[in-house]
Amino acid sequence: MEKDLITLQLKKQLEDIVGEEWVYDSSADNLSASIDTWWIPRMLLSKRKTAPRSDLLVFPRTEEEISEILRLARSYKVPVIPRGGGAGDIGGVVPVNGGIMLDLKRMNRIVDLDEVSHVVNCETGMYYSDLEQWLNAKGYTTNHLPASMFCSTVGGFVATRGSGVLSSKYGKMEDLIVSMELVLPSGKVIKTAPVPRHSTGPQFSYLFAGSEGVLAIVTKVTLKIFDLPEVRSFPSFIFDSLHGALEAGRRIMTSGLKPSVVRVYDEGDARRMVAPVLGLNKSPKALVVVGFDGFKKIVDVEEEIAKNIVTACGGEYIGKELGLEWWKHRYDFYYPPFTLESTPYMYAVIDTVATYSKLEKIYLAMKKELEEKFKDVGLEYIAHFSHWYDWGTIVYPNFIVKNIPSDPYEAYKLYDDIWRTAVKIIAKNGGCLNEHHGIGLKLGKYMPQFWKDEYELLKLFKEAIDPWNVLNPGKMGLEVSK
Amino acid sequence: MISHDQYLQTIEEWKHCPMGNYVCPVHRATYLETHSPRGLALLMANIDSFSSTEEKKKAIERLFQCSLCRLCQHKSRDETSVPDAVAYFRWQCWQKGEIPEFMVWDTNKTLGAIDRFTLDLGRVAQPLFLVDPVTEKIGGDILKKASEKFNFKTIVLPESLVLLYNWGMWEALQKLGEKLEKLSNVSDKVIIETSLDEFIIKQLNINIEIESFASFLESHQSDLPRLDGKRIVAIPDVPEKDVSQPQSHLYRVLQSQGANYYTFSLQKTIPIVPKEFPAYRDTLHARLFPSIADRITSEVFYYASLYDVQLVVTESLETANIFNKFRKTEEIKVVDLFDLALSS
Repeated sequence: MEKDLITLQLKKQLEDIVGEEWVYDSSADNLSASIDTWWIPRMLLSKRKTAPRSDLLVFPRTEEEISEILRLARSYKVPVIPRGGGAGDIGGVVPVNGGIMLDLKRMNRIVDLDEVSHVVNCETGMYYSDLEQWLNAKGYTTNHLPASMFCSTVGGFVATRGSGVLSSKYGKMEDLIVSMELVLPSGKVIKTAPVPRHSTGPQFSYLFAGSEGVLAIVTKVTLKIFDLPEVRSFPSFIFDSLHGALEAGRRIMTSGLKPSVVRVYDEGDARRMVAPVLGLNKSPKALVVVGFDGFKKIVDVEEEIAKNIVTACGGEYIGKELGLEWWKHRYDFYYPPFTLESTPYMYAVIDTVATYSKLEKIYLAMKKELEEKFKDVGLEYIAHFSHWYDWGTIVYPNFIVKNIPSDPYEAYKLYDDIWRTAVKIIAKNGGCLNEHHGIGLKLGKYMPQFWKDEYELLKLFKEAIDPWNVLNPGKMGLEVSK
Repeated sequence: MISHDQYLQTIEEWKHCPMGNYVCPVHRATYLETHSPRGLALLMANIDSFSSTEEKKKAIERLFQCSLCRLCQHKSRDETSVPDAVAYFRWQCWQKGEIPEFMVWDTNKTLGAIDRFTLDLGRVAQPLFLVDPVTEKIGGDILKKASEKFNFKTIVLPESLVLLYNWGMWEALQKLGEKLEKLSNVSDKVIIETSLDEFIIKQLNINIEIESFASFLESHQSDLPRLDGKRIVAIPDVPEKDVSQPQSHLYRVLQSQGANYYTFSLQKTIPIVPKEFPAYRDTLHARLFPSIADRITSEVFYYASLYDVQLVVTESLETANIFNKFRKTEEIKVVDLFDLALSS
């Protein structure tokens, strides 16, 4: 959309809705808002190429304003892209056809704390850390503690069904949602059922959580909260084989114990990511941190049982200090200079979720094939295993390439080839692409392959709820334009 | 001022990393990505890629709207600092003549004032207290009382060190620094208003020993009022590297007086508020962008009220002054360190 008459007219009409100071049309403001942490658009910018950008950036304050904006967008046939912290790595905010970038960060207030029911209601534009830290001051926590809580909004986690480091015990974002309020593409504002457990029909929160802003704009959520624990404890172990470490994790999770954290680092990840932050001077084949929280008496018992399980699998107990250091510094990994985002390298996370019987096979196959196939460009494959459940877990691999082709298209082709190779391995071995980062624009093309009939179902939902394709087009493998 | 290599390293490290965004008060006031540490780094990295002069001007304007409060700086685990990169960028803009239209600065007047500034005092027995002219203007009476109570000899600087550094007037700052180097001949003890002034003096690499007023007060605790049980937010000029282990002199002074200063902890039994508040200490910024100042102040008081704060203590008089000017509620008291030092 050029800055023609229609854009000017639309800008004025948006200003009439939200106020003149909350609509921006400059290239700089729209460009910065139109990219997240996905490597490709950022690589293009660094090579002085262009990346898609919105035409108008707008900050609504209420559901009513969003309804009005959607009404305008439908009448002008202009896309609307909901935006939170811009911290995703999937191109979820990339405006494939330009349009209106609807940034929700102005909707950032805590609405209600119900201490009796242990639930909090808040607007989805608030930085998650604001919510969590305020709850901490009251003696509560959501126990949703990903590193990205400092740069993602509540809505961002809802949109992608995010996971925090304590997900093994407290679940993913969708498990914390009690109810939500949202605006449909038609402009209608609806509230889902006030409780998550009922038998009055389907639980619609589950339809909208994880829908990445293609079906609705979630504006408020009620989330479960928990008392801050009396203690947290993080016994750690080293292994001389990754297999033993994975088996220990599996046995802990299927034993009925309720650890909040199980984290298994492979040799490369322990060396590259953990050692610089925590000063680990050993080079084990695998490093395992297990976390328990709650009442001290219970934690002590759980820890003892876990220690027995892990040592039976070949683990060497190295105390709790390293685990505690990991807990204290767990966010440091994501700040400069440690984070991969601070490096000039090509990188991506290929997080893959699978049942226990398939997981190790996927890890080994992916590591072998990627490192062999992309040996010439020096691909490094490092991984850890986190977010463990009683049926399986995720492998969280990063690939890192230092020798990047200087030509942007060649760089894109290399990136795409690595992903295709990885995705093929995941599909062949019965894994599922992605545990908590979402699909966005980056992985949309793989949706038919992974979802099969469910993908057709998603298209039907989209068509029924958003026949105008006004909301976040081109994401999750859905149509770019009508 | 950082070197060109440090500047390039900083923007390379931060242009993709959003982890400092949530603390940025200007970003939280406007919600613009272009005002965030990541957005500023991205703009600096791409400043020559804008197709039109008008668009480039707009991008430069955004880079002149950072308040250099330094809250994002303490998020970095290494020495890179987006505010220092922004200060460097602004310095470059002055050299290239690419200054935004809203920036009104009479550089000749500043240089003239620095030229006329002399330190021909002879040797004095009292500690010297270097005062920012902005502080002197808004708090002259308070400063006079402080100098009497603590037996300072006050020297009003010809220009604010913070303004010179923040807005990229590096040559003028260096010129002033050369004069300040003579201070060690005048007195054995030189005190400067805040930790930020102290930080800027250190950037000049001049040969003087200097300490902040908060540091000085640590050895005068018996002269300060007790704050037992007060729920306080402390706002040091240079933020903490790690708010879970407050090390600043301001924090230590408040703690020694019994305040429930807020810190980060997951332990239920410790008073907690991990919220970082900005030392919004740039009167020129607040004058140029009153809507940003207004929103930053509103945000500070919104969160202070959410955390049931009773008292906000700022290290600098300017921060308290700006907050008091723009605040819309009187419920939470704001005092600066001078107020505290002078109350009984």
